[in-house]
Amino acid sequence: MGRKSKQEEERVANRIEELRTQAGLSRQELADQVGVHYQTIGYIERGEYSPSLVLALKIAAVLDKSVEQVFQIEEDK
Amino acid sequence: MNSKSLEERVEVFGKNFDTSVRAWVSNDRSLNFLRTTSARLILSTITVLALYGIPAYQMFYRGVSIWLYVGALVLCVLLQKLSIRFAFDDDSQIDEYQHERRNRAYRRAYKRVATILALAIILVAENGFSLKQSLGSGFRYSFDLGSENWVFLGVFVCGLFVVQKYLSWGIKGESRAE
Repeated sequence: MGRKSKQEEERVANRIEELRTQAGLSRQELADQVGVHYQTIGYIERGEYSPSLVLALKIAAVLDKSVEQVFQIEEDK
Repeated sequence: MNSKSLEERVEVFGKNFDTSVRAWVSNDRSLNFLRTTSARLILSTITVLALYGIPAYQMFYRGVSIWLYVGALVLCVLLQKLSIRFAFDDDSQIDEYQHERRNRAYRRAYKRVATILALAIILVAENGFSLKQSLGSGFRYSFDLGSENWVFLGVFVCGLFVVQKYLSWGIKGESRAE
């Protein structure tokens, strides 16, 4: 009945791990290129943290994809 | 003129040295054992025991050195700093995830400190009120801990403020690097 929390409302799925592996990049290499800690890439890949728009754009640029190809809003089941 | 330039050089050297050491410690993987969830759980438990346990022991049994208490708190804070990669110390060294987690920890810490201090005030006031009720109107309540315990209380309050943000960071640690 109550309002859904921000986390519940905004579940964002991503294909970073798949695309990163295809590009032959480690978490550390991707992290270095976008200017964050490698742990942060892990949190994003596992869906534990939704990145800012700027970081999402940077990740997509490094992976040579559009943001929509990397991140999608997860459908409610 | 010369002394000023020497001062400036020393200041710049000190600043650079400090930043380099922090950057090295923050990124060095040999300290990753301090950053796992189990390490954070142990570290948080030790910190809570040091913060509350030592003064509690002093109140009941006496004879604890104040330097032991100060040393234990300093050691806990140092280990906590290493465990969370100096996230509270230098904005330039943290990314947006750590920034968000740090802000959440600050919010939690403020709430916890406020709650603990409010509870302590209520407890002291209530204790005095009950004593006055039972002993009659001639009773004067004095909160006298003795000079030694006042020092412990002072260190405890300082420690409470310093340590709470690290405890509020949470015990969730880092996963293994890949």
